[in-house]
Amino acid sequence: MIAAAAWTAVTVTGASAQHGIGIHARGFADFNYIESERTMAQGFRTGQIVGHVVASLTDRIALFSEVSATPSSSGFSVEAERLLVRYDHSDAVRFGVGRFHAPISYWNQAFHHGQWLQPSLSRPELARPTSGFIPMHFVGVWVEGSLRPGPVELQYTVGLGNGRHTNLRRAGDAGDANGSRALVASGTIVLPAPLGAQLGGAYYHDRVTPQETIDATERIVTAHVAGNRETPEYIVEYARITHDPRNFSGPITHSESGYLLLGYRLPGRLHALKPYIRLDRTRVPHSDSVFAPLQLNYSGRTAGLRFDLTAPMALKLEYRSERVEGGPPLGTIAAQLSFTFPGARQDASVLADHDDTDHDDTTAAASQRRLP
Amino acid sequence: MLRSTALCLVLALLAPASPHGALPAAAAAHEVQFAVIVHPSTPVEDVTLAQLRRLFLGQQQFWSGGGRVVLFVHPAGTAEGDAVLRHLYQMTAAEYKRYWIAKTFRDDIASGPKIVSSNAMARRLTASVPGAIAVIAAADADSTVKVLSIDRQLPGVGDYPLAGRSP
Repeated sequence: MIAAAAWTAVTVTGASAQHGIGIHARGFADFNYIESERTMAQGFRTGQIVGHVVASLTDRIALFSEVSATPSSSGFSVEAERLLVRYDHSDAVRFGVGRFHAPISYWNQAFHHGQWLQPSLSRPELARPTSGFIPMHFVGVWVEGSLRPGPVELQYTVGLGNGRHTNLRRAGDAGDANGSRALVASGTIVLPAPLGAQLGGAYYHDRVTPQETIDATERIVTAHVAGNRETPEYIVEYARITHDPRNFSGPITHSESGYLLLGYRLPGRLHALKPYIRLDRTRVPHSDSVFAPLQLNYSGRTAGLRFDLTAPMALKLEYRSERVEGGPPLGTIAAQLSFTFPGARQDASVLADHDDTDHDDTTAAASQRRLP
Repeated sequence: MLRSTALCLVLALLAPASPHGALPAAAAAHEVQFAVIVHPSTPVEDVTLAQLRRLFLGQQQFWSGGGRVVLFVHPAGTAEGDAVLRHLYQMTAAEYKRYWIAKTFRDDIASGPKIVSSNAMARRLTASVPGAIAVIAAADADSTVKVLSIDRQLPGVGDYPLAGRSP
């Protein structure tokens, strides 16, 4: 049901005149061309197709889902990136249960899998789903909310759930891999204009058991600073992961990853263009038995240009120079056409059709009636 | 000669373009005062401009009495829609669209503002939907809705912040 709804570009709005209860759908997709000195599939590539469906069950309970289809040599693999139910008690307290993107990384929380939405063509190494550096998903329960003691807004999330699977790139969707639940807590301070920025951080604690012979406590600390306006756009994010061996002799290790992204939408007649640059670095000590097999040491310099062809479609061009595991710099040139499928406008005329109030504007309401 | 030509080209490229990408330009003709209307049961009489912005940005999703905020907005290109973009969202139409796509995709909110096609529709729905809030021409507000003051000022009084020009 979720997959079928995700591929439609039609917004179906329910019949409640009170709270606009209904289902809203939106899709994202991209198409790419890649030439690279790195060992990877090159040429034309279908990107990830993503469907986002929100079903408002009542005015306080909603089901959120994000389903992705990713191409591979054997076909498309479908993944439920997010599937959660949330109860909104108030702005300050919201309860959720399900699978969602772990509130550890700013990039993952801000852009999820919406290629059109993110500023650059490629994701930073810290937030790349296939890297395994940070856990991308979290399966469990959480409470979150927003507090406003003054002009500054404070956002928080506290969650308890399954940690990583034995495959570190995956979450514990079918139960916890080692009987030890993961804890995550994050906080963000949102500063109003003229600063217009947010500062945040997160703490994550879990036990990881990628192999029978490797059992370690994992502690992750992240921090980020990001501007709230589109121009200039700046994001700085850092993550530090500590692995403390439990069942094998070895040192306590600290791995780090971070990136800096800067983007600026050009003024005047060039407003459709937005150049950007990004610097990435990931350092994993060779003594880290948990991360060593993943070969995560990386440094990259990226320069790109985003061209918004129309409102829902963007062309991105990007050049990357990357070093993996201390090797020589390898260049990659990539082009991407990314777009979003806007659903039908959230037209209030459907609510108007169910309104029993006498009115004197039936002509306007009837002429603006939209089919669901 | 070459230098002046180059300078002209640079100035032409940097000149604000309209309509796409530019803030809504004020058209000619007379000034219009816009009223913030809410459902009569809403437990609010006055809002600050900052709070009004938070309401329309979806940063505050519940009224102090506990009811959910239901947003009704006019589309860009209308006097009401352009006034909301200029004074409350402080965004272009493209930025506004991107903002709500991102906000709903992040699961911050289940749905964005509902679009109304006329002041009469906005008034009628605001009068019937608990928690509703909309911005309409002050002259179109009537006793079926509650008009909020902004920073203790009603439309037409003092430095009331929501004003624009009707086409």
